[in-house]
Amino acid sequence: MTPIFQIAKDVLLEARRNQIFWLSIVLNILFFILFTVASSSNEAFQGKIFLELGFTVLWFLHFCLAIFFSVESLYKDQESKSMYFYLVRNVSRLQYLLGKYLGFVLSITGSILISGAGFFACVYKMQGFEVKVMYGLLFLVIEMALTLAILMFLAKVFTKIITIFSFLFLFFLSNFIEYIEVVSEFPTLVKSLFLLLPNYKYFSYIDMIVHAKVMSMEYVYFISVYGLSLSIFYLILSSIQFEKKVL
Amino acid sequence: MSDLAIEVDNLSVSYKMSFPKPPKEVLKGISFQVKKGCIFGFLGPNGAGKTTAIKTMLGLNPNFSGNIKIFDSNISDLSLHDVIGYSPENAYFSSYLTPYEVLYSMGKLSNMKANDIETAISFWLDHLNLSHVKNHKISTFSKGMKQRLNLIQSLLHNPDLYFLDEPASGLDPLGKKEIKLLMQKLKSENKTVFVSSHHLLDAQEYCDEICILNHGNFITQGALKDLLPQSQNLEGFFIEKVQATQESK
Repeated sequence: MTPIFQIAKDVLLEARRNQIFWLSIVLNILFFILFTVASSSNEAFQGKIFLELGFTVLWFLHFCLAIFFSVESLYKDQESKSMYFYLVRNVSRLQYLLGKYLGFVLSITGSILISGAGFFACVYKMQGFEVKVMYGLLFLVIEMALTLAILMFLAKVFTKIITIFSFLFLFFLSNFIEYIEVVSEFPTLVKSLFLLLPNYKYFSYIDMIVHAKVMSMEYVYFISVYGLSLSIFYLILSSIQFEKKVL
Repeated sequence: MSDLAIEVDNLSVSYKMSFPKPPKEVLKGISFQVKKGCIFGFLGPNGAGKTTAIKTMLGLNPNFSGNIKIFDSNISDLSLHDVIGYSPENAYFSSYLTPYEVLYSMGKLSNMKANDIETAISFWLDHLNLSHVKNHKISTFSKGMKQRLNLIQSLLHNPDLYFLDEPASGLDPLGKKEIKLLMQKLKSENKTVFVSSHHLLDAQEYCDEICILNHGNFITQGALKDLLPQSQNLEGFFIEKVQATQESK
């Protein structure tokens, strides 16, 4: 396990010094201030407006951060050959891959926690303690963990630009896949595709965070198991692809 | 126990090309042996297949045919990597980290104890004149400084076998002199060094044996003193051999 943690520690160190992380945190906080002011114009729905806008920006900035930080780091490792330094030591390709993945997940989680603390403080000031904000942050971490696993796999197959575009294609496709299922003449094929492709439609939790009075524990369990299993599935695919890759 | 550090037998490597081109044969059944404690020069013009051969010997290229043994073990044995040091050509660490952080991490991954890592880092940073920038970000480094750091990470865990791919690349004349001194130091410690270089006059000074490749073909191997007639330098010998194989084609 040590090599995995050591590699993850290096990724965390890089993230801490990468300006893109601090920029994302500053942008989040600026948006929270802006939304506090904007939502105060409607006293009756101030809390809900802030929750919806705040979570949307928290999701969007971390979604972009996950894509750009992981893709930049993965391709830089290949281009500058710095992955050789790890792989010529007593480190297997699987350990290297898991170390990088763990590092990415911890870096994004750290950023979500810092920005989330600011978000939570604003919500607390407006409407007191809201446990659903915590659930929202948990869903965001799970969604980002899945996103990073998919990006790890794509980065092992395609070039940088194709990785980004194919991921965005997958993301948008998964948001429309239920409509494709209805019109498709091959429902069985589409249904199997539906299971293997990441379905971002399942991560439509912002409405629930904003409007639900009580959080559905079934959804919490479902999204945790779904996110974890699909992340493992994509990590296994990345590992298979990486094992046979000429470096 | 054999007295060989490396045994390569009939090594062939082909790279897949984009459709519809056929695969490109980069190494065409080369064989050579490297004795323990020898400074072995792996020479060849650009595109000869030197880096591909080194990467294959280190397990970075899983698609090859032939046999490779290092210290009598198969290269798939990961524990073997604890006794190997590799300095790739023009490879750089993340620019966000400092030399100390990079070297500490490399030491940990080579299963070194914390105290040993600290001692080795101080020693090698002093030895290769990088101690004054120990805690500076690598992004502020020149090409030569990055190359020195690249060398240090391969020396840090005191391995028995070194693979140095163009160790003098990007170094100024002082840096090149340091490489020669380093080779002498490793030789005095009875380490095996497998070095690929285009600096043939330097290589002549420190190599015990050489092997020449051209276009993926094995040309010759032997001790320098046996291969080179008196008064001929390695550069002349190399050009003669490479041109002869090109003409025979």
